[in-house]
Amino acid sequence: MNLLQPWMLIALPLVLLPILIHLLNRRRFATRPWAAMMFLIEANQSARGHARLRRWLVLALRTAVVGALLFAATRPVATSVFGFQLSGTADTTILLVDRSPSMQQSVSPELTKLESVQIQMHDTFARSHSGKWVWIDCATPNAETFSGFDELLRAMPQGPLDASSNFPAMLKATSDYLHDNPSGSADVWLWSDLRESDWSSNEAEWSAVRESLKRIPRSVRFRLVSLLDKGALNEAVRVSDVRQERTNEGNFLVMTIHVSVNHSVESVKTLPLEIELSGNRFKSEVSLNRNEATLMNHRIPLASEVRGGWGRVSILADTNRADNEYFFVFKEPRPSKIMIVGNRNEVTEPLAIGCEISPDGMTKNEVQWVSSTDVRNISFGQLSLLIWTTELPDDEARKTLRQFLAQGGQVLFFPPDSLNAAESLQGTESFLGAKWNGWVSNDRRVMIEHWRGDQDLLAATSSGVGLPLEEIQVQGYAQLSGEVIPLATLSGGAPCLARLATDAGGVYFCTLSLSKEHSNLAENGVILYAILQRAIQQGREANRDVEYWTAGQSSLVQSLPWEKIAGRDNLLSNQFPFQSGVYREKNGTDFESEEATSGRLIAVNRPITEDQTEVVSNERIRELFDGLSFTQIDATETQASDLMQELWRILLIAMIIAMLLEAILSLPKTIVRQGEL
Amino acid sequence: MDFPPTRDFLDPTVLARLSGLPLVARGPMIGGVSGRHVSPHRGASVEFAEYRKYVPGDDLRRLDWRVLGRTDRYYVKEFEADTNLRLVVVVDTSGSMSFQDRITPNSLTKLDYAKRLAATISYLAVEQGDAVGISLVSNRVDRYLSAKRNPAHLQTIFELLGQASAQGETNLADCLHELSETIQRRAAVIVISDLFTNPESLKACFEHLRFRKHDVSIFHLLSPEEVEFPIESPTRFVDIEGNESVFAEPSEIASEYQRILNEYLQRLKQIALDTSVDYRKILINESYEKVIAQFLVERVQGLSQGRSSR
Repeated sequence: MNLLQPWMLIALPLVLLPILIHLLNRRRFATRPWAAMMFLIEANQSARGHARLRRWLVLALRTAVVGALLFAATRPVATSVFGFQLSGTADTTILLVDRSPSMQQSVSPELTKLESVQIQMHDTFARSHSGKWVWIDCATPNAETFSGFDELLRAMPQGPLDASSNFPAMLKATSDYLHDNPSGSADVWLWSDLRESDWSSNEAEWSAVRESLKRIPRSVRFRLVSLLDKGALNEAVRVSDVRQERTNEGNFLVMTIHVSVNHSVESVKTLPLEIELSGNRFKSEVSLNRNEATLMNHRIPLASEVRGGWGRVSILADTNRADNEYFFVFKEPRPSKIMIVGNRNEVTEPLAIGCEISPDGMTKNEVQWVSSTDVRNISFGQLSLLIWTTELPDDEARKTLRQFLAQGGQVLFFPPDSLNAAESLQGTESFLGAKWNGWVSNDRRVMIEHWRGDQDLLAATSSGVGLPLEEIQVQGYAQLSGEVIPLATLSGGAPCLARLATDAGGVYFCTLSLSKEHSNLAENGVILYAILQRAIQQGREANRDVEYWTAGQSSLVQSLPWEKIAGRDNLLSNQFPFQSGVYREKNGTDFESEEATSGRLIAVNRPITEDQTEVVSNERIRELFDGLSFTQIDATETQASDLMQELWRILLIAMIIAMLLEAILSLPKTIVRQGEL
Repeated sequence: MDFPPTRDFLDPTVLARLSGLPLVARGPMIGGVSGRHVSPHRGASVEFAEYRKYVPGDDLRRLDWRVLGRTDRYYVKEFEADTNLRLVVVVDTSGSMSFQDRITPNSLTKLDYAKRLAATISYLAVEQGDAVGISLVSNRVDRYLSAKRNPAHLQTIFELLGQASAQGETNLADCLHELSETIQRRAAVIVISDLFTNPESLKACFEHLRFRKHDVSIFHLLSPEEVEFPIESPTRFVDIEGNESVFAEPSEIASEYQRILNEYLQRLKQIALDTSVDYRKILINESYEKVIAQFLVERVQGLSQGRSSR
């Protein structure tokens, strides 16, 4: 609590005024000769205790009224809402502000929720005194400490983000800070519109965060200022499946545009769209049906020489400008490059066939055959998959492969012919701890007994249909040793497909030979094709020309440096991963140059969860803070502009109550007159 | 009868209006001469009293011959004896009787009011042939005049009343005990006082007076201001009879004051009932003529009811 006009306290002695008046009044008594003294003395004695108590109560109330008046004149303010929750000043004030896209929802023609929060914060804390100020940023939940609120405002970015807030992580950071700095009391202020996308209220980590907060060895009060939606109509636009298609009809950009509305629209409504493509603007429109609209495979003609670019789709301004545009990037697809190390013969030929045919049937991948000795000289640029069919690589080749893996490359090992030619031959080389240990031939065919259908190369299709691995029959296979993760195992437990644990890229070992004598893997074709194409796809992911990333993804933070092509103005480069826009990634050679034009294009957009308006209920919020000193403040966004309330309302009410009590106590008692007996 | 101008406690018009009302005793009186009051002794009045068996020594003239002729028994016919009344008026002249009511315009003091009552009743008694005595009491019996029925004595009484002033403390109980013994023959005793003393001590006095066969009447004088206690501002109350003073907030103690006063009055009323004392609470803003008239009428009514019941 602070006083805006503390100098008014010099008038504090005026609270003695009622006492002085009382004493003066007592001295101005009348003297009256009296005959019935026997009744008077007895009445005076018996009524003395009660009468004195009442007299002192009246005097105290009068003094309190004058005191409240003087106190109101000092204009006291307190960190409270509507004057109901008073508090002292904490040693540490920790601020957690939700700056997610939903906080850009307008609460008045002039203010968004976030701007309202900024005003509230300024009005609340500019006049408040706290030992330390701690800012837990919602972008990177780290604690930054400041000695003054003004210093905090100058140092920390307060603007909107396109990334969701992560309140569990922010409160974890709060807990860590308070555990590391266990002195004095702390006030933790949270501002949020309680979107589920920001709170993840069903995440298991909440219980750990809550328990950690409970163990803080200091007094901590949590105050959540919730800024709930007023139900204003809001539309959000999103783009998916952006691709460039070159057909006989021409060169086209194809995309699917989704528009969602937070309220159902009764009648069909046409919504204008604007598509910006490399600086050029196109008008379009979409018909809203109930609460969504989709413009499937919308084609935009491109000049024939265009092979890539960026753009944005935007809708008319509404109550939330953060979801009114969506950035996209595109690049003309190019064939994947696959390298097969080994001899090309009828046994290994199915590998080339399986790699060349792309799933879309439109492009043909490029397959290159090299010998193991030439591996050290080849360039891995744009290489999606390396298939190794000979003895495991030697030292020099291993170095080259490690570089390839570090760039996200995929390597698939098949047992060399020499292994099954001499069954007793032991592999001499190893790769990342795995090596061939010999060949096992069975008299009868062995089936694949277990496989990982949930992920990786043998995962079921997107429609949920599993790969027909039960059709594979094996009569001979290579023995594999080392720390491998089996993806499929034969009867008896021997792995037939396994991967190594790597920091980047993928290393797979297939223990089956493509020879008809040892398995029907090549003859079956389906399994081999799925394995090859999925490995190629994983390799392509690492070599993509364009990227779509979600703002605030933790991996993006380490992907700097970037160059902004489109997006919000006046952004610092460290904010790029948290702001929607189009960025160009500077590669190693371009990094030092002034003009970087050859890096990957990256479109950063808000998370899809930000378009969902689900709000965490107050009951659930209370459960999340169960056991903690927690107060939720439902601030009306347009009115609660000042959480640091002046207390004159309370003082006024107190004065009225005191005066009423004083009047009641001062009322003359009903006297039973003699005549009434 | 002419009165000196200082005798403002006598109003001839009031006396004239009240002179038609007799003052009667509630019980038999023993007077020196014949009068209008019932005597405990049998006499020669025309009012039959009872038959009594003849005993030797009775006057044969009182023998009822008719009864003897019819029943052959000897009975003596007795008649009531009428005698005069001995009235003693006891006037409290303690300091508290000087209290003057402030809420009634031109209010009398209690003593002035008492003088009017005493003088008027004394006049009426003498006028109907009764003997009147008076006693002025405060902390002791200041003056006592025995009852006499000659008009000259009435002059003495009036002079005594005219000289009386309120002073000294109240010691009514002891004074009444003393008067109980002083008044030798049964009499009608009228006490005019504010009775600011312990009711239990008064009870003993009343019982003492009743034991002495006196017909006791109490005129309890109260000021409306004392009863209603309408004072509001802080006041220092100074005892009229002494130097004691009490500072009080009337608004704070008024309720309690009223309660104690009411209890006191109720107790007095109960004591009067227990001791067969004719108790009358009088506010000094009432007309004393009306008070006396009511007193006299009720006595006459009471006597006639008593005779009819007998």
